[in-house]
Amino acid sequence: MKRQIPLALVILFGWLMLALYFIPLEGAQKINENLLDWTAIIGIFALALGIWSLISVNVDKIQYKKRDWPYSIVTLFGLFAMIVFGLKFGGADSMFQGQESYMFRHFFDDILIPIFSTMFSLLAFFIASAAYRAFRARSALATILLVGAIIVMIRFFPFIAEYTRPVADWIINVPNLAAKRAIWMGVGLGIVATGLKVILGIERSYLGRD
Amino acid sequence: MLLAVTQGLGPVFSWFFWITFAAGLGWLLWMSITGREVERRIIFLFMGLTVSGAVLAGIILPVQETTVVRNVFDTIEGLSEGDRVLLSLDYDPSGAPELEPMAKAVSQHCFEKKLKICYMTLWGTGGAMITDVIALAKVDFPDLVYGDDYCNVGYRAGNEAVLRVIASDFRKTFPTDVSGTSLDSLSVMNGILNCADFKYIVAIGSGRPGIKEWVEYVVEPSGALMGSGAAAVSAPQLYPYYPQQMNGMMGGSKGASEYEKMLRRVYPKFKSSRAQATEIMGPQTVAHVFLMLLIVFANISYFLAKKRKGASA
Repeated sequence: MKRQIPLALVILFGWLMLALYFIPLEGAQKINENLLDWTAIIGIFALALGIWSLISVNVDKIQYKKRDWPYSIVTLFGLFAMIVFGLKFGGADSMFQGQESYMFRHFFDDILIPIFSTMFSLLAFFIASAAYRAFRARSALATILLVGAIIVMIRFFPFIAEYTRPVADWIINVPNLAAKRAIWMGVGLGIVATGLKVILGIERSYLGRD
Repeated sequence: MLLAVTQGLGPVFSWFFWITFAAGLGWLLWMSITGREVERRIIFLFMGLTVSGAVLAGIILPVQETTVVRNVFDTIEGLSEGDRVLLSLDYDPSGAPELEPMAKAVSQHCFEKKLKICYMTLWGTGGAMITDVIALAKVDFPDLVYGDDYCNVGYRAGNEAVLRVIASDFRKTFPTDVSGTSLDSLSVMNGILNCADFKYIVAIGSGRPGIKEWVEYVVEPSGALMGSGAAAVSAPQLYPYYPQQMNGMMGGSKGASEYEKMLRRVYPKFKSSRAQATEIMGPQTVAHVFLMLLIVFANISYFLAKKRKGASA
């Protein structure tokens, strides 16, 4: 039953949603919209599940003093601090003003934003190092890639952009676009194939092993 | 020519920066020609010095306008007073340096045209991004009235499902704004039943859910008119949707700086306002040049090594 009921639900709702998409009747579209509302509700449950999972994993780490356990304290502190300071209740004098609250803004602006920005900025260093070490014209294809990349990058440099832009635009709009479209088409067909396998009950890996 | 486009710590520092930069590149070229590998830490140091030096020198480079960005600008420019625009800010702080300037510039443009903006986000961290953008826009428009000139409906969980629903019924997913006020009591939302009721949608995003999802779940089924602002890293993937599904796109800091330039050209009052993206473009371009030269030097070194190996064999 543990496998049959979820499988039956997936097959039932899979076919139902597929059918509703193609039925232009108003009643069918209403049912479709109501079912879509459920997706948002399930999404909120997933959020709760995610928070529970985060707490459980980190509490376990702290309890058994596993590797790097002090970081778990920071994680849990951050989680609860942002939840508490993000709450909104009381009057205008209350310290709980949701996203406008003093502490929430400071945690966000002075801790989260610098951390995110630092992580993103580090890419510049790694890209520079990787480009120097690995981006070599070892074959004809690698040479084409190398020349293409340089021309596309040069289009940002204002003093020579005028001359390189037509070529750079051609690279972006013709070979790049063709490749991207082909990839998207492939991805789309893959999604259709996987979706069909799921609603036909062939693909069952989402049910787990036991 | 280079000095003419530098600000910051003054011309002496600018000269010092360019001379040091050229000397550093010369040393890297010498190392490459003599076949010596440059250590990873040296590359890191060079990149750090290049970017920080360019920031301190305050290098501002001229920006060239492109059609893909101009289409977004012209669409907003063509709207009439009181028209409603939906601005979705789907990014987090890591994308903010690139995307916040375009969100700010679009907001400034809309408010200058007396258009009404509804802000929303599909990202949990997007709520704070909206607050920041509104605060930045309000510097030039301190008299904006919440509910009449703009509103903020905030974040709803559900990713693509949120878009599927708002494409046909906006209030079903967003019955209230971020403070819990009913949308029916906000004049900015009068007559807005679904996404197609907005005259223009501008989706600014750096990942998933983002611009691609807006195209798939809102533009295609509802026929809404949309422009976008994407992080530079994801912009090339979105070109297939231009110009059919989205009529224009701002790609990274370059796109944002073009928009800032257009805004200042048409509305000179914004010349006194900080052009964040234009400021970013200088150091970013210098870093790109450094990166390109690194690749060229590495290949010189590679070919010389190959030649030496061939000669000794």
